[in-house]
Amino acid sequence: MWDYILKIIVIGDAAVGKSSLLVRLTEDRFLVDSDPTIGIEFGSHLVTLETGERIKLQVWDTAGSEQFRSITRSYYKGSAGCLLVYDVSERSSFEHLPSWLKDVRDQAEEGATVALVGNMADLPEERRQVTQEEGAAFAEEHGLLFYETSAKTGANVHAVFNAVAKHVYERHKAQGTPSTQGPPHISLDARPLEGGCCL
Amino acid sequence: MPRARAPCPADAAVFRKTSVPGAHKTQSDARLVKALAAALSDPTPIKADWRSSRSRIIAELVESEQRYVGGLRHIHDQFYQPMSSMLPRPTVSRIFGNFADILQVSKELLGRLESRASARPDASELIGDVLLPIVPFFKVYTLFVKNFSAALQCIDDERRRNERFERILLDGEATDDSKVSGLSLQAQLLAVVQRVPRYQMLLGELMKNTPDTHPDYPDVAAAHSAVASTAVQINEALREHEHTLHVLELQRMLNNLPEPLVVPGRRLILHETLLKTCRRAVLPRHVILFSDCVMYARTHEWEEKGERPLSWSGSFEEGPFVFRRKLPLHEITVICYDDVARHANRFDLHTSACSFSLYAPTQDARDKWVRAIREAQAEHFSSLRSLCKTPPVEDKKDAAAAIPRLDDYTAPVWVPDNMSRSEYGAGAITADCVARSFAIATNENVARACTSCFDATFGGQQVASPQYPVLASPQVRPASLSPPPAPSMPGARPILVTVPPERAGIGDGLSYHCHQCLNYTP
Repeated sequence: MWDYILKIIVIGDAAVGKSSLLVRLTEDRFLVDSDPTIGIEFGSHLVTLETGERIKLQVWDTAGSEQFRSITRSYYKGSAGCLLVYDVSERSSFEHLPSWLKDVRDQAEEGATVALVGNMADLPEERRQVTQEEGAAFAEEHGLLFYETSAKTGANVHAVFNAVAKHVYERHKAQGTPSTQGPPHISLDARPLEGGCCL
Repeated sequence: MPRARAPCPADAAVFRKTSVPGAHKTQSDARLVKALAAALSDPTPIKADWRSSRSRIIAELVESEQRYVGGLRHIHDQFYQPMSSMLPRPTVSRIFGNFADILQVSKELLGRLESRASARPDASELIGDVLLPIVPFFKVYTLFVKNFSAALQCIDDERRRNERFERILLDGEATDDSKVSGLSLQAQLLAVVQRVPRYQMLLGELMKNTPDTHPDYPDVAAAHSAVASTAVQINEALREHEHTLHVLELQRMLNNLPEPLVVPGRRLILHETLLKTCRRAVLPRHVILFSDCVMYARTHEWEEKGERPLSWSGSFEEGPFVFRRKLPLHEITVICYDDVARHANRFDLHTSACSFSLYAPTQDARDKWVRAIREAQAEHFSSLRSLCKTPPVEDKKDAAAAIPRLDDYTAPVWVPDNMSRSEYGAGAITADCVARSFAIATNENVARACTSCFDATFGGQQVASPQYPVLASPQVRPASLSPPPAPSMPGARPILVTVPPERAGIGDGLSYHCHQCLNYTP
């Protein structure tokens, strides 16, 4: 059971490894070719904070509808956290970040936590097209968390989801915990042991 | 839980965003179609192990449909049924839209798939002919997808005021069915919204693993391209829908509108509060760029406060707006100044009826506006040419035949009174500035210009006798004012000041500003 439930969406260009990150998070393995095409549309993961409180992350995978931006925007409603993923070995996926970020800012919750994720960081240096410094600079400029991950080795995958959970939690704490009688449509939704969600 | 988006006239926050969903429809359409065409004629070679992949994908197609229909049935039994017996019909249809149609189509598809594909499908198995007749029915998703954001809003509203409704939501979430356990109704409806792109993904994979010599290939290819175009249609419908909602919101914010904003073929491209030169001062105005015109509106609060900001001071409180004027796009000339430091992110809009300067908060914002207007004009002109001919300008034989006529007239940018005094010096504006009259070909007005502007425009043309008496004592013009440099800015035409006909002959010798002089004075 959990104390809070939190909706996180994973967005970014096609083939940057969004589904792989989700599979690594929920099943701790690497997605291979023979896996189902659709796979999991959402995954859930429990994060336990230092305070002992547990946050259930409900992670939504937008893979497959990247080119249908209006349809993808339906995902954003009510998400308090967002992973904005690019592939460090694919320059264009980095260059498309501003337009994704704009969608998040327009559509997700006000002040939603966004983590910039440079995936496929396990690839050898010579295949890299985006340096870590560039990623960090972009994150700094737009006020995003920043991680380089590898869904293949699992490096930093849990770290980035935990960081987003913690960040949203602290943001809501700072703004005052949503009261129990408060609107249930606050993403960090305190409805202990009763389940519930916050799409 | 969307932020309040339903009818909410005071939702001023929405208008801080200057981007408009669906604004750049044409470009993105073209891109999408191109990308799809590329995807459809994907030359990826067939892999050696296509047989195993193909049978795996066929199996996934069936499984995924089973799972999906299972989810739909769950929505139907746990939410739709109990809510239907409790809520009024309109509310039910606001939440579920045409959910029943979708369930019907999916059940049909599943039935056909199951009757064809065996539990362990073989690569030689045909599946395209099963899909092809069903694919056209995926259009039912369009309505559902368009309704989705209103549905979320409705669920939110309902759960706040209806305990029994909330109970149903909680019970439905806490189901034993492991696949959907813990998923809210909203999340489960989202799966429906996403379904057509998922079909496209699956059929795309199936295509990749079906050699073009395979008997199934023609049907699979046809089904794939039909699904892809349906997905595009849904996406476009959704974009149009978001866009219309946005314009309607804007319409609610605008008072005194002489006409509705929502007009077939019109797109909202950009809107933002900018500073505009008005008669007396530079004031904030909400400027709206549509695909066929520019409108501007007064912002209430500032007018009431009586503040007169001369420079950009960051963000403005945006309240309800009062419509002021509409300028057809084909009449506008946009002038952008290179010297940003001197002109403070200024750009001008000139038409024959009205010209003014606008100041953007940043250079980027200025460039964005200038670019957007020019692009919109280019598009508008090309569509205008194919739609209709420009009405011929009537040849007017007016009383002012004795005075020279200017065919290509552009109203001058009025230098606001407070700017002309503070920046140009009170002494600069003298009666002798306004010395000659001329007629404007495109309207009824007679206008007057100072001698030097007049000469610059009409050259050595001799006017028999000044029709109107002018001036009291000529004054010495300050050195800084004369002579106004001939139009040197690219795209700038001579700008002359207009006075209404009834005042044209008065010659009160007081303070007609020649805005031509003022505009060109350093």
